Amino acid sequence: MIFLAAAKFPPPEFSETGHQIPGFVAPAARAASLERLDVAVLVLALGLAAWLALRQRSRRGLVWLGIFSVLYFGFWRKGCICSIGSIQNIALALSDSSYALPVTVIAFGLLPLVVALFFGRVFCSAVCPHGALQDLVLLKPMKVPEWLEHGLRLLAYVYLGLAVIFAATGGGFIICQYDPFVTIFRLSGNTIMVVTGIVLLVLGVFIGRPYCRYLCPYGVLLGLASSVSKWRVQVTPSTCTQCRLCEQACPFTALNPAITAAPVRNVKTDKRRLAALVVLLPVLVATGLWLGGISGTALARKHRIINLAERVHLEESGAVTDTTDASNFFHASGTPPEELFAEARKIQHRYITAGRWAGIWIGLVIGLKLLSLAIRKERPDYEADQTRCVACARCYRYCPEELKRLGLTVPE
Amino acid sequence: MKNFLDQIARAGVLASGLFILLFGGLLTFTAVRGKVSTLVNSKQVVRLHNELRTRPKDEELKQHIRQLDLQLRRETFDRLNLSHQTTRALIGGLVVFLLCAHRTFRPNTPNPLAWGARQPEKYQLARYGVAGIFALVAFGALLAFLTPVRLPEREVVTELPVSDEEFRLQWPSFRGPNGTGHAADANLTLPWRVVWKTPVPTPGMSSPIIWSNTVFLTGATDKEDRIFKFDATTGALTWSVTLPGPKPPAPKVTDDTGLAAPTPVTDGRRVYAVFPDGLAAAYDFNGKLAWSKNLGPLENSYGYATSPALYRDRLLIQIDAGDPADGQSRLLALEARTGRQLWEVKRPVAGSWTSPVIVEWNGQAQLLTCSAPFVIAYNPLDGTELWRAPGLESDCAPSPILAGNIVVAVAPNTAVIGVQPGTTNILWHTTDGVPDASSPVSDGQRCYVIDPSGTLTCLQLATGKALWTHDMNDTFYASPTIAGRTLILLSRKGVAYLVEPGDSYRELGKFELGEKCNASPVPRNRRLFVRGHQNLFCIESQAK
Repeated sequence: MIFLAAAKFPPPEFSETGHQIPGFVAPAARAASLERLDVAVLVLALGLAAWLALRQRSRRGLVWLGIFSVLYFGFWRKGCICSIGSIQNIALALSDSSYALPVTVIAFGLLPLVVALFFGRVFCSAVCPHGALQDLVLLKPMKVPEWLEHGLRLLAYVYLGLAVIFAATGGGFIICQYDPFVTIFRLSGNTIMVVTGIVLLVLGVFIGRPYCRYLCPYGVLLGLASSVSKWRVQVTPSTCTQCRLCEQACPFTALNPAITAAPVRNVKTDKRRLAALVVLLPVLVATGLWLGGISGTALARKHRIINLAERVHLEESGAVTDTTDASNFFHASGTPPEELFAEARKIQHRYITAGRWAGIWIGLVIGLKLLSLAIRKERPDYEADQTRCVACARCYRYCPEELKRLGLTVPE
Repeated sequence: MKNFLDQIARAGVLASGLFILLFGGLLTFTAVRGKVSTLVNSKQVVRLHNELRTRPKDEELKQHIRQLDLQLRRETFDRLNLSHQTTRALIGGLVVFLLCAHRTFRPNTPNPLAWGARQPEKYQLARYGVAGIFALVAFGALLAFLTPVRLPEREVVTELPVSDEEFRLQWPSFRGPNGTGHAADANLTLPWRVVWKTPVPTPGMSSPIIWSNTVFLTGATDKEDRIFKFDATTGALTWSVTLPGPKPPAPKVTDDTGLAAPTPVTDGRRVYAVFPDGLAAAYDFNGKLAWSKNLGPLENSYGYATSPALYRDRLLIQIDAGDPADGQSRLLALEARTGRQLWEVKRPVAGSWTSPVIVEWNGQAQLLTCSAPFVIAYNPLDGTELWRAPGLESDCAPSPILAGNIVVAVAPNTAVIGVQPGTTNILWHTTDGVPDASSPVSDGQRCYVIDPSGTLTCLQLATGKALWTHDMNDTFYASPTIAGRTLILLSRKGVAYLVEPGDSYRELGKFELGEKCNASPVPRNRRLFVRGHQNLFCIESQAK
């Protein structure tokens, strides 16, 4: 619709000065060879990260690779193209066949996931510039209480649901819009996002990778893929001696302690709780479905057509007396408002449907999380949590067996 | 020394931490607190613009808007500048903080002996944490529920597209409703007289189009693209509009092509025009903008000259450029009412100056196009290719026609070919009288073409055999037109030669316009509409 194409920043109205307004200049597309270079760098970095994290068990190597990723994918490529944001391109392409999905975006979206299926979240360790940047600033790790950790980690699932809704319905790419680190890589941007990025990094000095743990939607997918990975981070290179030295090694609460003796518990209560949570699961899914549906009508406001339709309706009904550039242009276009409303209603229905799916997703995630908290597992050794571990290789040096392997002195 | 550095680092952490806290907090507070008035969202600007609509000639108001515009523009750029500087300052503070923190903070040394026995994990609390997140999400969803977008349920009034019958009765596009340049019901027997002539304010090579009592023309300069509406009876200029800006830079064109060579098209509801700078627009018959869009630069070595075609509810725009292998040539369809793009197909052809024409063949509407090396027919509804025939080369400018059962196409200065529609069959091929710019015309039995030297050639339609040739001693860009029993040839000097179509050359007379002319004439009943370099002419037959 032409009225939405009105210049965001209107040209000056000084025609009598004879000033020639320059025409639109579209920036040249990035050369295909450079795009291929980005993919090649990604592939190499992923391979190197897997080798360093799992085979070499080298924290130092990962730090250097992280610095490279921050410089290349962050400061040089300005945080774009980015695997985290590619979720949205893929969601949009799946819902809108007219949207052309570049091969580079597909590569950035899928390669880290494919690698995670085999080697875990090595992408997070030192290839993702967001993760690497946070990892580099982590100096004095502090523990987040376990109960809070479990809750906060769910935010990333909610964010993923919302990001997919907005991308698939044409409402915008919120992951990019609210990316806290892109402003740092670009050294400019929206004030609030600049401050958010800096706050997250300052916080990241004490709380390991706050964005990755509690917000990153791509981390959710990587975690799911990583949960079936064959090759994974193992704290000890040989046998766990239960020395507990690694117990607080992981700043990301991604190390599951050994549980050798069954904790004292009331079996009857546990069984009852489990049964109640099984029953609760469909209830939560249904609640999510309902909440997603009812919030869909308001979430739709983010779509520019809906926004304009609402504005035109408010002007028509006399609820507002002024007009906006977009509504003026719409009225001047001669398009009947009925058409705008009809299109807006169609989009609104899409939001309601997408909202329901997102609600089901969130309900399911919360239900399964509660169930997982009700099921006890016995673990003979300290081991990395497959979904949470970002393969940073910090824990290795805490293990005396690793020190022995390296021929280093084991402290008393 | 080490202690001193540690103390400096600790002080640095404190100072930079405080700086980030205070400066970042202040910036956030400012950003969140007030919506800053910018040129884009200023209510005052919007109000003044609205006032200007009611008082378009109020110079004082205009001056006020300009002052406000300048002020807001300065403020916006100052603010952007400040934002960039503060971002850098904050990032600088962060770097200092991290450097100092690196010296100040060290991870704790693990000491399991001090930790005591492992405590079982507190799942009860974790469940509360999870439930808290669920409550937060539910609260957000309920808040959203309380502020829904409410839209009125109103039925869309649909506009019926123009019917084929209605379209055929007019002269709505370049060379008439089916692009043949043939008006069987016209009668333009000599003598003629000029009924009216009206100056056209802006130059252009486009031809007139007519719907009922309305004549449309286009014109352009490097500063503006314009559409004109004239009253066909009196010649009065009813309105003229300038396409909304910003105007793209004018492309490089030859003087013979100019900046407004494509002829507009109309469906009786709106007039649609495309200009070589890439702007396309539709206006209703009252001169109100229906839509406008920028198709992008229309690269073309002599200047874009292809006229759009219209089929029912869609505007069809042929954009040929470069070599066939370049993949630059394309055909696109816009929804006539809204300008929304419906489809686009790539064309395996070179750059051309021909105009596509809508024809009916085998009961199906087809969009006939030609450009080296192919004559290609498309389904105008969805752009699917129906058939193609080879045989064209060089820079194609004459448009094709469907005459009887034969498509006549021209490879300029090389050959005229007759193609059997729906096949790859070249029925005939002749090098006699090959035009370079003007299109052929047919009376159903014969086909008339005029070459750059001014030689008029009559070809037998079925075989392509030259029946006769005649040197007109003049040069022609306008395409020949048949009005009833008269073949009209309009020379570049502005002389209309009238010839009787037939198996031998017979000149009926001529009429001097007194003005140079490149556009093709439009016959309507007893009148002929001609665009000269300066004026639009209406000529009428005086014969009883």
